[in-house]
Amino acid sequence: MNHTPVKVVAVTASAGATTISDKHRAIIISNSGGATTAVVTLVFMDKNGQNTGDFVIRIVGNSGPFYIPCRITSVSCSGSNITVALLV
Amino acid sequence: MYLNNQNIMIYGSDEEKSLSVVGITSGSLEFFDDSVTSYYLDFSSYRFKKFLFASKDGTDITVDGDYFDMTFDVNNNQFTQRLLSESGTPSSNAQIIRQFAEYYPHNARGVTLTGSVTGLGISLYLEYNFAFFA
Repeated sequence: MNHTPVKVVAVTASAGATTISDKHRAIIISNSGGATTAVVTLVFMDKNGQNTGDFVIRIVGNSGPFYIPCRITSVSCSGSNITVALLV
Repeated sequence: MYLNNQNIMIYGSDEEKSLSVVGITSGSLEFFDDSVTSYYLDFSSYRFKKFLFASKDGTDITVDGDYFDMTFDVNNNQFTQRLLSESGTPSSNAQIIRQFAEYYPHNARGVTLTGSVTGLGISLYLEYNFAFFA
């Protein structure tokens, strides 16, 4: 397997819906919020740029980070202290 | 992994960087008290390389103890997830277990999920999501 560096191009700590760039290759979601409970909804994009559906991750405590190796069109977070890193 | 530094570099394969989602499926499973319960989820209708599993938001899962173990069997490789309990109990004994997501870089025609519950008194329902990458 050819491993190459993936650069972090943006990091956001968010609550609420966030539309993100379609130029990234993957995202990492982490929760730095201790006992914070958050629901993170991801909207995936297929190879044709179409949304394929919602994917829901529920985070309790400082679980994660979750590496999602795919383009995602939006991230919605309830709660706080959720960090989303965009990778290219 | 510290994410608040935009200069960090993370290593990923070229293959991973080209992945897109080709399908998402979700459902729920029941794990019976004082027993070990296994389910086989058939993925043969999907053509994918890797998948992401996440326990789904829904009814809080409660366990009368510290953890709930769930074992994935992916192409005869075993992966055990321990869902840890969270402080802040909803009742005197039961505790919310910590839900999770996990990424499996494997081709698979399906997975076997095995969970064990002890002393809960009721069945445990686990709601799940799978996203398939190709």
